[in-house]
Amino acid sequence: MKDAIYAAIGLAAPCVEKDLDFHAFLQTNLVQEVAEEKPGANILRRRIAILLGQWAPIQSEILETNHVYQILQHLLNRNDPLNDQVVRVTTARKLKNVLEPFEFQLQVFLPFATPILQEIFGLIDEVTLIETKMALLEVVRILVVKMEDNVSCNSKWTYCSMPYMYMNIC
Amino acid sequence: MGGRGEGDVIDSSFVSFCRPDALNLILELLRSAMQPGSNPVQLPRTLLIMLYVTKDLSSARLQKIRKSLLAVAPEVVHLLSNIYIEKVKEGTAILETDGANLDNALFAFQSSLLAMKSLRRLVVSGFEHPNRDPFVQEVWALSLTYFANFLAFLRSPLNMPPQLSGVLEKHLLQLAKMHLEMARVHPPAFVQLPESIRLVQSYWTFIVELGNEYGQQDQYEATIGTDGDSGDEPTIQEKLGLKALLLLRSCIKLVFYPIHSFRYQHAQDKEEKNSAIDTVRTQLLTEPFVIEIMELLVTRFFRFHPSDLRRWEEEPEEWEKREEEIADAWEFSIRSCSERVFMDLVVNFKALLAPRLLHVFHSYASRPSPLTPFV
Repeated sequence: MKDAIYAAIGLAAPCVEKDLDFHAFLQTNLVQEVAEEKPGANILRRRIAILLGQWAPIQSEILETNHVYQILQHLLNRNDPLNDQVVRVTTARKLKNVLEPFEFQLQVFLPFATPILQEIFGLIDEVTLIETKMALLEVVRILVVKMEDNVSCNSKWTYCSMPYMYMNIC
Repeated sequence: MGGRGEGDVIDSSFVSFCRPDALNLILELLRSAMQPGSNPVQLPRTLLIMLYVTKDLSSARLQKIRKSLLAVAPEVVHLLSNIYIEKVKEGTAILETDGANLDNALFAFQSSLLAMKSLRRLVVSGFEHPNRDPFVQEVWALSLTYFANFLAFLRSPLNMPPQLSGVLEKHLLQLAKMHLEMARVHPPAFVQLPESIRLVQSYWTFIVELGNEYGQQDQYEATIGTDGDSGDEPTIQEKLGLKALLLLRSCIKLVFYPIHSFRYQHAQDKEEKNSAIDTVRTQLLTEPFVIEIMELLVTRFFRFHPSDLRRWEEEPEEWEKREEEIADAWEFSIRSCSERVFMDLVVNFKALLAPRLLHVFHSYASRPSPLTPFV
């Protein structure tokens, strides 16, 4: 039921944004809920990723602190057994909505860039459907554009991964 | 016709080539097929040809053909509706007595189904103002009764062979398609036709029943697993439920997103449109009903179905991709369509719905245990 209620509040974001402090909700609730380890946690984790993608463009204040990226990095961690493929792919897709707003602050995101990028590359290798690979590559493209000059810190790792990915897709 | 007999199949491409004259021939064949002593296969075969011609005419874009269709539609609808009514009565009478001779009932319903397949297209494409034609009004009014009757037969303890129950299900779907297409293509006419508000309210009852089936267990405590429903094909309830949601969406669109036409509108047209908008706003989309819709959609249709959880487990990549894509293909998904209806309502009834939604949200966000929502 919580998944359904959160789905509703995500869809209604443009209508309730003035009446809901999503930033406070994120700090007090989502940070804890995303760490819950019990059966069915996958369902809520996926929903939280979607919720972040829906609210980031609406209340961009949430991009001023690192909680959003903490959560996204946590959800992309393939070593956590509760982050199944659906959770991680959904998170990677919704990262795009978090990166795109004009209010995106690179300095807040930078500490999380490398681990997030590594997880997404791993995910591109893991999935088999071409459409999903392409969608994840699009997220990488946006990420690289947003990182501007800072992409050189990750370039060695990125360049090593690209040929391998190219061969896999072909 | 090259010396062929009346019982033989007429080549439909030949029919399409000389449409207006061929239509008169088909009408004559239909009339003679309804006479006592006629060849029993003449009626279904001629109805099938009528269907090919109807599909052809209904999708035509040339003005000349459109005008021909508008000219002949009243006569064709009159004849087809008489055939439909008679065959439904015939089949219904057999089912209502002792349930014997089910083969005869099947034969009658197969003919009525073919008649309805043409009828439902013609009442939408063959009229600029369907609500003003008396035969359209008649068949529309009867469609409510027939829908309820077919549903009652399917739910009755009568042991029907699958072929017969399948035909009755197809009748329901054809009626639902007629109602939905009318609401989409001629929204003001839809509202002006007899009992349309009651029709939408009946469909809503159907959505409530489907929601009760869905909401049997608390999905939050459900784990992702393989013990969900293994059938991938939607049930008749789900197909009709989707049509019902789409119909509701069309009504909402009429009021809040009316189509503005650049064509000249006569005073009567404008009056009908404004009256339709007012009727839907005051008689259908009342505040209690809008709240009821939101509650049901969120509590029943936003939740995962066991088949969703099963596919999440068994085909995670395909399921995730489909979930991403289905948001745009809302006409084919109950959950996506529910989300669209929900958004339409929240945007246009913000003052009414937002506080309730936030109240429930805060309740669920602050406590881990499930609560009764929207109290």
